[in-house]
Amino acid sequence: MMNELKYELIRMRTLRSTWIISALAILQALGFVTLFALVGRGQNYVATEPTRFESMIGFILVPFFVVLVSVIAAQAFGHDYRHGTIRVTLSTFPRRGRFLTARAGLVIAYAVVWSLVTIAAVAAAVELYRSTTGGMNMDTVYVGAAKFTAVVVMYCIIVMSLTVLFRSMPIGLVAPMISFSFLEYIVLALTYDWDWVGRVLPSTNAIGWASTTDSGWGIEGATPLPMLVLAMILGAAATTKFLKADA
Amino acid sequence: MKVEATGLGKSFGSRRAVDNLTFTLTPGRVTGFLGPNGSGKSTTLRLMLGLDHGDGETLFDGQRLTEFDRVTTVVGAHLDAKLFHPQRTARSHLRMLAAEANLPMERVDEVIALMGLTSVANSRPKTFSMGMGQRLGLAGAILGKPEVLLLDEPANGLDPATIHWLRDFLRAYAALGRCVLVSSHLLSEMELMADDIIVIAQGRLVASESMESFIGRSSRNDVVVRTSDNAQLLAVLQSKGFSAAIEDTGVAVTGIDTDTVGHIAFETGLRVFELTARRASLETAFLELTDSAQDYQTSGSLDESQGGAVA
Repeated sequence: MMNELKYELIRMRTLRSTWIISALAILQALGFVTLFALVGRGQNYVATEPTRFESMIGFILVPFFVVLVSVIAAQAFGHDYRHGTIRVTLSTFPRRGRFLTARAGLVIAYAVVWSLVTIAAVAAAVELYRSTTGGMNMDTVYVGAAKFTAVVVMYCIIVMSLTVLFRSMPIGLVAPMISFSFLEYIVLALTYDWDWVGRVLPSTNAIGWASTTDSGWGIEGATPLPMLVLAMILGAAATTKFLKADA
Repeated sequence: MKVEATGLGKSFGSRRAVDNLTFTLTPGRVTGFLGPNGSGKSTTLRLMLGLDHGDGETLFDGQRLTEFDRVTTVVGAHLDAKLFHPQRTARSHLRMLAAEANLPMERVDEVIALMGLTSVANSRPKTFSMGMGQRLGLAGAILGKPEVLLLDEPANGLDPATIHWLRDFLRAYAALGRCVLVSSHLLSEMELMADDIIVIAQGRLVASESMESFIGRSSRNDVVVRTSDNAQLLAVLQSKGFSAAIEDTGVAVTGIDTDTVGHIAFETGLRVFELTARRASLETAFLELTDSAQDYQTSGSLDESQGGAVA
């Protein structure tokens, strides 16, 4: 397994896009914090209490950070299919199960580490602009960070799985983005009277859950379960396809 | 390392692309893998590597490829000239492959130099020509000094000097006791390069033997003799049961050697002006064997299709 991980590390590291996307992911989050702090300062706003973590999720971390990190997940398999290098990869690592574990594992590790690094940087920036933000409410950060990271990981698994299933990076990236950013809201609006619909929508629930307050997204008792189930189903289907299909 | 492919088979829908192929690759020999377009050569190579799932199995010294820990040192494969990420440098591409067998960086630089890629080692392959792509693919294949090399059309796009180098390299590689399987359409090149030959057509095995015996089977191996009376010699040869015909310069006889033809001419009292053994080329023997098994037959000549405009 070590050699597979080493191969994957070199694969990720030697692509310029990995570095550019990673930098963008953290810089956009810091940029938003700075922007809001400057706007607050311009309006002579004085914070009366520290910033809670969940107040930043909607506009700092979701959707830009999630989507940017998921590009790395899509690239992991998408580049191989787009450039035909899957044949080089699988003739070098014919034990597909082991290789899949290493590749998916490294992507998930990346998603976890980068989410935590970004959250730490954002918290530091909030502390830096204390006059307008009131500093960071650290009690909310630990739970929020864990929940948010879990959402990022589930999202990355969905993107990776769709990329493998359709052997297409654009589908892997765009399908969840459209589904979670637009379709779920349309469904919610159309089924306003049916409470149960809101409880099974993956993204709405997961973001609501990560936001720690139940009221933020219009769904009480939001859980990550629908997104987890979706990630597991797609992950299982993608694993089967990766193991059984011709390269 | 002996390679045994047994009962390889693969269907795409109702079409049987590879049908029950069984052959052996012998260490120390270069084996040419020939077949018309669409005959299943590339599919066979993919089946051998486990890239495609199908019938049969390929054993490397009695083991499946998945049973080896350092596959890069067992099999090196080069299947296409463009199988790398266009934005990853040539050196990084090879470093990545080297990780499979924990090969040192020195080995990466060694194959880069061997393939003449030193000046472009840090360039991105998106700018590479097909020949450069072939070199990079070959560099990846030989990186782990594998016991078996499987190469699909490695000479495509290479300049004559590099083809010559490749031939010498592969022969030297095989001489170290390794197996080399090369698929190619360049029959003249293959004739110079390969010791053994595997021919398939429409997914089925047509021949698996030494190059010499394959060419020796061709009906085009004959003897041409020019004498003081070709018509008389023709009649004598035919009366003795040989297949003979008058050609531009003399009589062509098959199934006989030059010594026997010389004796017959002498006994007939004819003066011999020319006596030549004509050996069929690989191309002749190949076309003879596979002519009826072309999946994608061309029809007519350019002259005919263009109404003679080219003439």
